[in-house]
Amino acid sequence: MSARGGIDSRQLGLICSHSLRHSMRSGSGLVFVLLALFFGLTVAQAVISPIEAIASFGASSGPSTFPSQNQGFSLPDSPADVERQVVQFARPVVEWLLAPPESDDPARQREVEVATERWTDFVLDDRPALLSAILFIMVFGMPLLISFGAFNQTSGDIGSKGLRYQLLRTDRANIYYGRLLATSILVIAVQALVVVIVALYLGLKVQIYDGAAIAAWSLQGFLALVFLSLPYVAVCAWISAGVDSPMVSLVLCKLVIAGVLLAAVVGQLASEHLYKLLYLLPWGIQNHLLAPDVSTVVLTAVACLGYTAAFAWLGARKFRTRDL
Amino acid sequence: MSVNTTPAIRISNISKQFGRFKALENVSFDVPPNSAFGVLGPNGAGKTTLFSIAAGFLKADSGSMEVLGHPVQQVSDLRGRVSILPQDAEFQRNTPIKDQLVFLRMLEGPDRTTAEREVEKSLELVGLGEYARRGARVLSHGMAKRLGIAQAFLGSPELIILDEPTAGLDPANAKQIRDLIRSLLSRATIVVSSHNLAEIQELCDHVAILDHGKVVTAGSVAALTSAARELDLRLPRVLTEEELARLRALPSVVAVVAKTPPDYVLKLDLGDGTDWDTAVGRVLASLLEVGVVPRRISEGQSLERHFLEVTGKSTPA
Repeated sequence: MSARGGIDSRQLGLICSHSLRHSMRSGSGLVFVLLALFFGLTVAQAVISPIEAIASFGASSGPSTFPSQNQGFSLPDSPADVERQVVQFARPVVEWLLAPPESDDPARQREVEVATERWTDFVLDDRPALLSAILFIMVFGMPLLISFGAFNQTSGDIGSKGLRYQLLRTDRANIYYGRLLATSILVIAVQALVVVIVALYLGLKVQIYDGAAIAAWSLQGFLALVFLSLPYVAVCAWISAGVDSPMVSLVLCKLVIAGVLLAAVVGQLASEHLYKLLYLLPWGIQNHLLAPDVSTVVLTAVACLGYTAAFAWLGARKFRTRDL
Repeated sequence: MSVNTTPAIRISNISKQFGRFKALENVSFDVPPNSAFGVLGPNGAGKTTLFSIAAGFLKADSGSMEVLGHPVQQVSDLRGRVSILPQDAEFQRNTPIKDQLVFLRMLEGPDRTTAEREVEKSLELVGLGEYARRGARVLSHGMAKRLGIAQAFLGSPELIILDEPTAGLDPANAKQIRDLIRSLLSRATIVVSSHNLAEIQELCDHVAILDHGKVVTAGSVAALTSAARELDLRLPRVLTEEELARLRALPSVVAVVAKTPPDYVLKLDLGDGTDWDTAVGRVLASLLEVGVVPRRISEGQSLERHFLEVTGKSTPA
């Protein structure tokens, strides 16, 4: 490691592109791509298919089917009608999911309720609701998935001592940040692919929403996934820089990312203050990347970048000072 | 033109501990520029640890080290000027070996075309040209070692550190590697560790002997072995007691050991200033006087003898 700690952009690019190719060749990157695609498309399928199925059933059965069982409820026969009814049905659940912990201060609690209601209206009424559902599930699930693509940024080559061939040729910072960059690019590319597939399916096949609305909300959803992913990639890089075994790194990444969420949720039952554990990682803020206010979205994105910078710095510090 | 006198490596009181195990303890010596420097020592003596510190893989607990005049903490700034064959470092299993070497060479500065040309040449040099498009997973241990050497020889490094370059190689491959190293001696400082004392004596003009993490001796091979050198002789017949006594009576000859007669080892002490050629001449003259013409004559493993003396144990495993 150079005392100057200098980043060389040419070397950074070389390491990044070599690392990307290696991750695909070694299979770990490919596994992540397949897992992420499977996850994203499964979520989309789980959200969209019931709508299509009900609409199809409604259209084929006609209004006179099961009249006695359907008093006051006409079975919708178009996906748009189904979507409207499902949204009405799901509204309380979405409100509950978006609501922060209750406040002891009644005035504050009222403010929170109004804000939550507005947020719910935004994602269910102002934006394509099905896409909102898919994006929120992805925002929740991606952090748990990212470790599959980010756990082995350095640990494998530390264990095999393969990094030793590079250490006399470049600064440790270039190796660390080059690999972090490669992993981030891989994760972002996969998320872009998933979002594009879902958006195309919604736009071309389901045809409930206006194309421009889908495109705009997909873009914001994609950006949300990007900003949300970076801190988790960085925390995995930190863990990976600290251990010599890819398997140990994977387990630790999983334990840390899921453990923080679990500890906060379970701990909240014992003490409401333990809810704050969520803020050790972006768990506590990441939904706000899909908030109605631009200022909230921007602040949340900046906070995510802050998490990323902090974790990346801690990882680089570990990588710079450890024996390799 | 000025002659560079800055040591290729200057090691000053380097210590390194792993847990409670002291791998290196106040190690100090200089590697002269443009020398072939051997580092000897039994297993666990600290050779690999020392090389790893010199290459920036490990951080010393205390002491300082300079590589080509740069503090070892900045050794990566010397990109292209120093290379190393690390021990037990693996290449990526699924990435073609040519791609890996091109990537490593490009890190040092050259563009892709230049790097590819150099890598192809280097792979041919170590006999791996036909494996260029294959991943390292298909390589045997010896081939992987040769690949490591190919990467160490890339470019024009001024200092090449080779950690047991011939370990695990068959005799033919080992000889090929020794020849490669020898071909580089005129243009780079070579630091090499080996378990093979004959190899070190053959290749190196300077040595340091480590034992239990400490330097027990360091200096030029000639100086270290001048007081204790050996002459291997193969004669046409077994010598009589009288003939043996004549040899023992010669100045500088301290012992005549009958290995498997008619093979003999003469132990010489040149501590009185007698040079090697004079001492050997006397031995030959004495033999010719009694009508014995040696079939083979060669310098024995005096470094091995010195090693045994200073470490007080068997030769390195």
